[in-house]
Amino acid sequence: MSLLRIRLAHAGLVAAMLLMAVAGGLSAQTTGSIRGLVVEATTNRPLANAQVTIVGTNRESLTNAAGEFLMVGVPAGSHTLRVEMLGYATTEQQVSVTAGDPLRVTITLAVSAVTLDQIVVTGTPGATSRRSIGNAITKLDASTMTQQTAITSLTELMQAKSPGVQILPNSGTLGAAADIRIRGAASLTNTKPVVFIDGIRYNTEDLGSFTPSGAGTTSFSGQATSAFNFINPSDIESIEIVKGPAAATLYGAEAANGVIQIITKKGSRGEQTMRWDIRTELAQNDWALDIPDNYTTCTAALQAAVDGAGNPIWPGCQGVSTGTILRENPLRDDPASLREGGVQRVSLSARGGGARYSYYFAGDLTQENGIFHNNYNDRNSIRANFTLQPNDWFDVYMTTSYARGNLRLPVGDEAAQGMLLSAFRGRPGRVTGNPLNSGWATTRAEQANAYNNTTKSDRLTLGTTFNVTPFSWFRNRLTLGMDYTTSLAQVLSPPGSVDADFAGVLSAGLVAQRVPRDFVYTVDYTGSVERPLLTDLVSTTSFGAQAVSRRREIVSATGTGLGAPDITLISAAASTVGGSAFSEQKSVGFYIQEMFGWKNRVFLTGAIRADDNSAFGEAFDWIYYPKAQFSWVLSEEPAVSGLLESARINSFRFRTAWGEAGQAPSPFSASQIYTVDRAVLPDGSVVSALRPSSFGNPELVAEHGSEFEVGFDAGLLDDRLGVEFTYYSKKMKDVIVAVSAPGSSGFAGAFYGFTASVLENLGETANSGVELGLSMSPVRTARFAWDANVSLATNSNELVDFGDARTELIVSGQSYGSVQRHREGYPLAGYWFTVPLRDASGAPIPLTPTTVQLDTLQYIGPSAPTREISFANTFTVLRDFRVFVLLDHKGGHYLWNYKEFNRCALNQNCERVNDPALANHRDRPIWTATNAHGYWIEKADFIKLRDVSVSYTLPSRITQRFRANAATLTLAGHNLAMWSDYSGIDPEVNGYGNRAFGRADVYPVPMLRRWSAALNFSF
Amino acid sequence: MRTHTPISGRRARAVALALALSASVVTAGCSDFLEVSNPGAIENPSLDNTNYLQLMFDGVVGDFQPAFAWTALFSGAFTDELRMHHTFFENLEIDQRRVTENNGTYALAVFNGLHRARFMADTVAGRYRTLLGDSADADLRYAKTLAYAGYAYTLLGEQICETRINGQGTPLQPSQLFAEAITRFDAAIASADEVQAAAANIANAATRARVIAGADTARNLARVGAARAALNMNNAAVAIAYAQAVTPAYVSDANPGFRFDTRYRQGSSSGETRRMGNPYWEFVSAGGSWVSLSGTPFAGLNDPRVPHDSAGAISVSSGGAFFVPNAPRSHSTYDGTTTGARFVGSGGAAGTLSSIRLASAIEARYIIAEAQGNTAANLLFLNDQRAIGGDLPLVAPSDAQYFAALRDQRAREFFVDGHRLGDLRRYEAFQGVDLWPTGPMYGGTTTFGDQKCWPTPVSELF
Repeated sequence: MSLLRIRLAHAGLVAAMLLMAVAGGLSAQTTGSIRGLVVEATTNRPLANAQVTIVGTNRESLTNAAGEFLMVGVPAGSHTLRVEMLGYATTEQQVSVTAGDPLRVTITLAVSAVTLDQIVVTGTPGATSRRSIGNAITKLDASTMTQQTAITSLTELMQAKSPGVQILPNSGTLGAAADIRIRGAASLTNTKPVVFIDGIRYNTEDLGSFTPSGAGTTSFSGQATSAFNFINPSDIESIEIVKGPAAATLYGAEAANGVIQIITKKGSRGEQTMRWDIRTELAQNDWALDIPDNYTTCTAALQAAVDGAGNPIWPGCQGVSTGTILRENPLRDDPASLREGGVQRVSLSARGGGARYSYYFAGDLTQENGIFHNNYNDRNSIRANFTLQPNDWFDVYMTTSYARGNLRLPVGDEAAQGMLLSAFRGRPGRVTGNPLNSGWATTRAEQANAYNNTTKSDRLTLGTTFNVTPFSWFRNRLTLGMDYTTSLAQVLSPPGSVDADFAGVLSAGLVAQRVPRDFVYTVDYTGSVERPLLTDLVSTTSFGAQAVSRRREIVSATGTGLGAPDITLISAAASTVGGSAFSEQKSVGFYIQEMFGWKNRVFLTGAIRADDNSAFGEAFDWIYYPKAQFSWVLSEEPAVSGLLESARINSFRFRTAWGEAGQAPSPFSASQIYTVDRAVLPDGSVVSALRPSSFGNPELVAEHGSEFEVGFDAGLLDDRLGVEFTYYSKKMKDVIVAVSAPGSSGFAGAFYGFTASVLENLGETANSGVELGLSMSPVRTARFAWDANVSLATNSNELVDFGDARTELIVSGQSYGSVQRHREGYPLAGYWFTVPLRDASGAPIPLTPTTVQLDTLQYIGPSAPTREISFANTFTVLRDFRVFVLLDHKGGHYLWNYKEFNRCALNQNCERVNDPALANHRDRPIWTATNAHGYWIEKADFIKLRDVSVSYTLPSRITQRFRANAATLTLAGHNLAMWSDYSGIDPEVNGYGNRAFGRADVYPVPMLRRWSAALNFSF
Repeated sequence: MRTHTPISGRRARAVALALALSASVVTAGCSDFLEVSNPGAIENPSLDNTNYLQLMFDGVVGDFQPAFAWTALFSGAFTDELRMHHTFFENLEIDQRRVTENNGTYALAVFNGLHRARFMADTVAGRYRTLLGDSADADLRYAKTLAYAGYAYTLLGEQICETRINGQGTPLQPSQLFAEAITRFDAAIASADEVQAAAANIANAATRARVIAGADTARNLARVGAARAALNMNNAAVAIAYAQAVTPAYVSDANPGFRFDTRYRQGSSSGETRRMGNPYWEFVSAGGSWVSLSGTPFAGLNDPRVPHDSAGAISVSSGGAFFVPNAPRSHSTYDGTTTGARFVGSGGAAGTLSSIRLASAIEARYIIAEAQGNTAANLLFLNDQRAIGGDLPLVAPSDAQYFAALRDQRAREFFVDGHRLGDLRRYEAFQGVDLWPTGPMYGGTTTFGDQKCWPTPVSELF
């Protein structure tokens, strides 16, 4: 379906929906109204965004920031009000409505750590209670989190919030994408979970930015960018994280890495009012961590060193005594280097609804500056969500969102022209080349700042979901969606804007543009039939079909040799080159699932899914994924409930699940293909020429993952302590590995412009671990309440077997040493190296003046965290003050501290090799050894004070002056403190952020500290 | 507990029918839906088409030229010609001759590229034969394709310790690779003869002359290659025969005879265009060089065939005062001075236009001089060569002195054009002379390894 047709269809549906809504609103009847207030038990704090429904009807409402709700047009008579909110026990209250007489009610919600009856989105139509599902699902209350913290992106929203979900942010550069892994890495080619937004497959591909680690358009390391964060966090109602194959049967051949379901905010039918929310936020990013100084110890050799023209190479060492130590810090001392990056954000939303419709409109403007003068990441977005229910058996939900991003990336990571590389390798007192670069290793801040690498992106997401319930026992849901992203990535360097020694190609003038367009289409039908089989036995049969089509088109062009600074057209350049790329992948799948529910407390589910994918080889057709689940609410069993209550266990559910899911290979990977490239003939002419492109593997099949999990949910101490425990064991077979095609095949990659690998199904990986979530309310009084959440997760990752004669694969692209290997029996991408040998006294054994003797190759440790603990605390003081504190720990892993290795061993400008007090330190020969990489692979454990915020709800006497229902002032800080033994700056960084497994501290930007002040008004 | 509406049989049947129909439609449409397009690909069977003959031949050239240039550069670093200053550890392994099977830089720069060139030449020659039958012999493109195939095998034999072909079979040893090369060179010569014979029927004189010239080029290209391969097999008589057949032969420095260059232009570090460029500009550029001659036997020779800047004139990655090489004799931007022309100027990428000599009459002459030994004619040739670098003529040298001087002059004449590794292996194997650098390297921070040919990369092991 073309983009135009989808847009037209969408516009038509919007118009029809509005007409029906108006018609519905004109109907009149004998009614009254309910005006209510929802407050938290004990503290009497008003609760915003609680969902209020009238049982047996479709009428619903959401509380505003003052905890108030209004329902008008309610038929006279007795009704049951049900109030639900994440983190609170569902409450029902009987009310009696009199025609023409407004009813006022106050409903109290008690904090509940266990919510067995919480509704989750699992892929089947209708409401699915958490109690019936055998696997762990994390549901994040995004709405509350965005209110009380300084979160600006979806990634930050998910960070340290869910056990088993690893967010590895890689870099503090604004716009750099994080790695997201759920229950560890199982695949060697793709570790990303699948993301859906309101049921529509959401593109998480790279924006197509020019890699910011190379001058010009080269790319060999650096940070990926992502469309993942093109959503306003304030638009998100909740996020559900489905962890792994046990639950992913419903999501298809790409869900083996888990599923993230984003549910955006909606209005509520029957409210008949409009609520406005305005949030303004000012913030500041800064570099909060240490900036190491550079040192030079002036030796006689340095004083005597001259260049080819006889000039001293170390002028700073001239005229001083031998042994003088020079000390500089170009990053700190040069005002052109770092800045405090301001953040401004305004978001506005309106939500409400009538008897048969509801709506949510929102928009936001976010301008965020990084700590480099040429790093910013702006986002503007608008969203419109409509729901229309013309009658009791049919409703349609339509979502439209548009986001525009404007990103500028600094040159960084291991690029020679990167400001951090140049600063940290700087050698005080030395001048090579341009004297202006004195103190810097390669180039100065002014030059690095001139690097102009921008990406302007537009994203349009359209979706329509039809819910049809022809009978109460038969539900159907059809979702049609499209996610379209396009970018204009550009590197622009007018001639003369940078020195030739920054990069010759840039100094001559360069403009390079790349325009990727990503289309993702989703068609998802699912139905369910619910039938009573016996008095207490209910059968629910679900079935469905999904089709997803993804297409990426890229057009690119580069012009070099611009004649004048004002000329930026590629066509005006002295030399131009263009290119285009295309990839397409389609998948289709069917499933059927049967769930038996016994007395609404014992649930047994079985399902099977069949998938086919355009990337499968000729020797492969459909693949089948079965699953089975069991859930038993033991605390509702009369035989054991007394026993549990005596142990002060209020609720207890046992659950277990087993299932399979897969992961399709990348497009076109099965076929052996040639392509056409340009070549120079001996007469100098340039012609189109055939070249081998892809070796192909017609035997390629999808990766096949199976997962078993078992656990329990318990509520203790009057539901003031909630425990969720899960043990999981996940295996992935037929793991797709990208290996170089045999070099002698003629299809292997070469060094001049392209690489070619072949995908093979090799071996097996395993992940296991435990996930523990504790929800507590240790103190709860009218004046003070303390709510805490502890999240703990472990992950044991192993490459079990390659399935052929090989025992290891070197992780590709490690420019400064093969320190990471995929080796059988060890974690994927674990760190391996030869550590220094030591004598009986523990001293290293020198080999040459710049090397030490090394032991044999040995395993040092994993590169990804094996344990994660987060501790979130919310303190409510005097009802109107809320303090939120989040501590985040990751540990058990290592990081290759290349930066410090380079400074000490190769540049000898680090403190420890220049400090006279450490001249005789036992390990000094290692510090200066050029071969002791293993020494610098360091434990990367850390604890970070990730978030601290203070929110104050202004008194109503103040808010009423603004005609507002409520106003909240929030002061927040992000990444405020860190505790770690890692000798680098930040153990969270990774200069290979654009790779699946490579992890090294090669001059990436550390995580930024952010202070923010936000004011929320609700009308 | 929810209540359930009794199921109406009629409605249920209607719903079931609708679902069944929907499922049938969806299932039937699956295969079509899963069809995807790939506008950047030509599937293997599609190449059996005469419309692709020219595209395929151009592909042979397109893959051979970068393979040859990158091999020349990196084998220079592997041997004693160049010192590598690039800090990536795989480059340092190459410099030290400690290349592991996992060294991706070597695989991408040398092994894979040579095999791409070999595969393309072999497979295109095969397709020509399939598509044209015996008439392929009279197609000049076929003759040249066979010559390129011969060079790919020759370079593999000189460079690689041993290698499989097309990922299959027992690894071939260098002598087997040279034999394969000669087979292709012979076929190229035979084809060139057919082309020339067929050219007699071309009515247009200009076209006829162009075809005949092309056949001459293909024949000479093959003759030099065959002589080179035969010399590496220590088959002196055969080498001499091929070398003496090269016309026009080398006469003097001013009248060098036949020469064939691989051509480059527009090299840059981005995208596909890198494949078209001469890679030397990336490694020897005004903005900072990755290679130097410092510490090698080629520094300070004061010979225009091995030109270089003064020490420190161009910075290298690790700083200090190093001799950075400029365009040598084998590159078209050679200017005959002892300083030479830089591979690239500060204002652009002019050096990427520099062509590299692949085959020449002077190489044939050197082959004759080595294969025949210390004769009067060869001594005359040798002394002419010595004069270029300012060396005095040898008078009645012993055989050992003759060969030592010949090795020295050959090293200068063919500096960084891909000959040195094969030469060092041949000298050790057949002349009993080990010229490999050993012991402490470049300031004594480490020592040379003991590799004397490129190992088999990891991609070949499974």
